[in-house]
Amino acid sequence: MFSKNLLLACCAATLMFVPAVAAPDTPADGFIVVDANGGVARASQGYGVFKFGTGAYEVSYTSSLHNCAYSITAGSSDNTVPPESFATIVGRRENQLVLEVQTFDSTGQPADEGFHLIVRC
Amino acid sequence: MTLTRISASAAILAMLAAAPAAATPAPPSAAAKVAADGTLISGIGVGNASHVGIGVYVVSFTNSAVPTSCAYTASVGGTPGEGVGPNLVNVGGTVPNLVSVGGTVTPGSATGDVYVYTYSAATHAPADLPFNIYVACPQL
Repeated sequence: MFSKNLLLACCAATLMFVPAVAAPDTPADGFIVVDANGGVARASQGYGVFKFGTGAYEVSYTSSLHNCAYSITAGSSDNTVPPESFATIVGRRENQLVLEVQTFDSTGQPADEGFHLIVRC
Repeated sequence: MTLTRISASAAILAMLAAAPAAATPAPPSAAAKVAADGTLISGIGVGNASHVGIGVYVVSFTNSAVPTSCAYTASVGGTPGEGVGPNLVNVGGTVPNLVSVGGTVTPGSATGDVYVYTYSAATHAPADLPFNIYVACPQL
């Protein structure tokens, strides 16, 4: 009985001394910077991109991105001045690992443009 | 007693092993809120902001790796009650000590510079507009 009490006391003490862990960041938190040709300029580990059409890109990750927030802006990945352009992003309904990015020129026509994407979950 | 100690130690080890691993810390972040005239209103990890041309702004982050190692997104938006019309915003980095404006390269003075380009959606012309910029970086 004494041993059991001692064990419980030890466990309780251990629980108290385990450092509090802040709410963990979801692993999907990250970013990717993509050039107009679909090349990855820089990215968090696990992020990738596939260009499948004019101004059409798939950004993928190794776990679901559907409950995340996406912030995207068209722009350059280096010291070049980007053309006036814009980008939109939406999650793929049939594949939670993929986001679809579309980029447009200033007139609203699909056009290959670089972009910066930040994901927070 | 020895057995009790061993059991307690084993239990503690088991609990430590079962404790959730500390998540990878969030990437260092930086952000800035900039007025249409280039005034830095507020920010995190930012030194200053300046207006270098119509619709062209430089935001100088304190971490010099931001332009080449991070992603940055921006949205046009003003201070509370300040309306802005339809607009576009683009971002771009610069190499250290260089400033790119309108396709020309001139010497600059800072290394953490990110360029923001704002446009009127109505005219497609560069236009001075307030904006917010958010930066996400890997572990630097």
